[in-house]
Amino acid sequence: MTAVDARVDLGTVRSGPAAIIREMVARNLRGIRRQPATFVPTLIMPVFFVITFSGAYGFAGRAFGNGNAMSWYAPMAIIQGASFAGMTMGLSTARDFESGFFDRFLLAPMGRLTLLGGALAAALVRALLTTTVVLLVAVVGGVAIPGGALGIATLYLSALGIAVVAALWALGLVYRVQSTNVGPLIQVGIFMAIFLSTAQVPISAMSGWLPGVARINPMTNVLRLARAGFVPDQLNPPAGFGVSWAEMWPGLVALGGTIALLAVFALRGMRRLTP
Amino acid sequence: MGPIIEAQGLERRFGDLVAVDGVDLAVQAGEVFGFLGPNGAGKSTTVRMLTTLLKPTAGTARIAGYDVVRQAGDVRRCIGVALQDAAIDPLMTGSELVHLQAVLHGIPTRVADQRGKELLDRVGLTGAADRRVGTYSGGMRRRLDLALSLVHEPEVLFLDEPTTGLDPMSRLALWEEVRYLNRERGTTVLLTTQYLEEADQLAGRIAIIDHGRIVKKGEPRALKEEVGSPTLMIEVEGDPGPALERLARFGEERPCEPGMLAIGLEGGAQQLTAVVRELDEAGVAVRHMELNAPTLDDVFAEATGRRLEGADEPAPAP
Amino acid sequence: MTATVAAPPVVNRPSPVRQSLLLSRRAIFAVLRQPQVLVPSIFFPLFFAALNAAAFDRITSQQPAFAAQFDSFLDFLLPATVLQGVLFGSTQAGTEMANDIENGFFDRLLASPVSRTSILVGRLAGGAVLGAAQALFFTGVLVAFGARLHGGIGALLVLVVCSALLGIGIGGFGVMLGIRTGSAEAVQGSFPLIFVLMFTSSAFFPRELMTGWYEVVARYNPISWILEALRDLISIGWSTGDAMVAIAVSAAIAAGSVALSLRALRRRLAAAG
Repeated sequence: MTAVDARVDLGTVRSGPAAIIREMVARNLRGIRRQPATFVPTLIMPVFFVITFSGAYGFAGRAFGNGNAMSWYAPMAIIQGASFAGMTMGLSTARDFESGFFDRFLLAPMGRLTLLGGALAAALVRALLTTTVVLLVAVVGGVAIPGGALGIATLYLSALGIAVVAALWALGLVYRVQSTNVGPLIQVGIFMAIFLSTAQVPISAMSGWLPGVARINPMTNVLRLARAGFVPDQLNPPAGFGVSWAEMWPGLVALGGTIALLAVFALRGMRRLTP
Repeated sequence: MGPIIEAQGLERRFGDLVAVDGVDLAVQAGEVFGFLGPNGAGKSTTVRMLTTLLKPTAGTARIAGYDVVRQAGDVRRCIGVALQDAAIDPLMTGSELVHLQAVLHGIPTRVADQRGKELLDRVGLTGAADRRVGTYSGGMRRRLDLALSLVHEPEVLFLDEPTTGLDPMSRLALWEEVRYLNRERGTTVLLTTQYLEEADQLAGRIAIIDHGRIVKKGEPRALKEEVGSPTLMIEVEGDPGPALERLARFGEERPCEPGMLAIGLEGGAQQLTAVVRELDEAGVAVRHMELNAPTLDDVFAEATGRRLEGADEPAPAP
Repeated sequence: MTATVAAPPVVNRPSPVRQSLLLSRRAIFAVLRQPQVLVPSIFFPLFFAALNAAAFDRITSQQPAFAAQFDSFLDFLLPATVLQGVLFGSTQAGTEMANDIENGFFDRLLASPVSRTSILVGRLAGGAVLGAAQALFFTGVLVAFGARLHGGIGALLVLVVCSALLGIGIGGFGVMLGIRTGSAEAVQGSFPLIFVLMFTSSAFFPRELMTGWYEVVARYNPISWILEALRDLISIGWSTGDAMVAIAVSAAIAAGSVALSLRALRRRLAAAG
């Protein structure tokens, strides 16, 4: 080792949280590029979902409000993909714990909110990727988007919201357990939340105990928000197409409320990490 | 000015296990302080508490006047840490890692680039800077870890077993770097180690820790002088027991490897001929005999009744 | 002093059957100890069975082609639920094999007097036993919730046998990957392939109701053949033809996969010299 004495003046200007968050996202994306195996499988599932379910239940198109099963399932697949984006972000954090790399973040003199913000920002970017890919597949597969650009905007909005929800859930568990063993629990939570809703069929088609559960599940409203531009008004037929505020606000409230609750969950988990 | 590293009654329990049992420390600015002890003694746990990574279950600690629990953020600004398992991401390159570390510590991006280059140059990794860290050897990773810990020019540097697993060349190079930092920059260094030679060579003062407690504290030279008599180690044919009894009058028994015997030879080297004569009269055949000035191993042995394992041999290269 | 060297004790070499049994036990316990496997292989199949029965019952029963054969969607789902459990449970065999290679246990086995095929049999037998157990377990649960086995005990037996065979088939594929790559991650990366295989069959969707290219793909997927034969046994009644189809296709998959694993094992041994 040479002991060169030239010194760079560090200056008194400190960079803020934005630079740290940018750097964390950059690292996360690099990780995906260099080791795609941890991300790509979770991209395959939603793509598969939209293809197979639309193909299998095409006969029931009319039940889904507009005769196009793809329009019913594509937003759902996108929501699924966004939740996986959040989940994989949690798992990549778990791997950082297991390798000891997370200590670097803990030793940095940054606020804990910045640390969480970096993870959430990375989840959002992942969700953008999955949403765009699945949407493209759906477009190629012939999906109808009567709601136009606004419909796509609400779709992205709901996807990003779900990505944050899933990431907060995953991170809340990962901060507490600090290992990848918590993976199955993350999965169970996410799958139950997504599927015990109008994910697969509208409430009118459900039987037994399911309609009751689906009605109180906030995910049902989030799916309404996601499908606003794809499927006619789902609760008040025969209203026409187009994205209406009435279709949107329940989902926004659901997202806001769930994010607030899970944010508390995640932050409490962080507090236990270190002083 | 008070000590730059201060701890009182620092304790850490994990359920029923007491890993660190009431540690007191006072390290002055500009010192190189060594924490010496066997594996599992509580060195790493203590360091984790001092570096805000672990909350003490009892006791207090202050770094540069900041409380490690209540003013953790300020503490982190002042310290650099290189932990035992170099926390690296094998997918990142050296430059990316230094850049990340710099940004994490609040250094603006452009400055971070320059600083990164400078540090990598300092530790001799410029050539490997654009290779993934997963391809680095153990020695290179340690050097990188050291560079990373210095990115924000901390006043206090914590090194947890910095040369464990390194080849002798890398070890010497690291010692040189630590001395340079301490001499030219006045960086306070607290290092933990299981190697006597390392503590002896680098540290101005040491604390010997065993089973979570500090058993001896002070300057290495002074501690060795306290032990006083040199150690006479003898390997005999057959059972060392009878030979030990014969030599009882020459000094106290000291711990050693099984099958050998060791005593503190109180009269020093002058007594050697008497010892040999005694053994000869007893009909004991001597295979090997060595007389060593007191070492930190003896200091440890006197305090704990055991020898420090893996004492003077450098660990094999990875 | 002279030292006498005693003759080395004669080693009692256990029979290959006993070796296989011991290794199977180890394989089974390895799976049971890991919650990571229990969740996808037990919780998810039951969860989706309950969910999909409630979700798709109405839509499908309104279609005459479906209603003619099935009393309820739950009846339809029974073999698919078992299949899901078996599929996800058996991937563990390959991961364990890769782990054994990674941590050196495999080499120790090779150095011991254990016969080569016992190593393989042990790993796969574990998968077969678990598959059979899952078949019994899931059938029990779903029947308790209203599914009916029109084909009676015969249908149940065929289901159990097919599950065991598929446990070997999927497990063998994973084990082959594990032997060839020695990496648990590579084995787990193959999981999407199994997923694709399942979803392009008529396992979860009635082929009677499929349209277009999707129906064509499902028609030629061997998993569809097995599942449809099993479903006929369950929802219509016993038929020797159906039983033979289901068992034959499952057995073919199992045989093919075992052959591939053996070949991979031989290659690895040859390479090790």
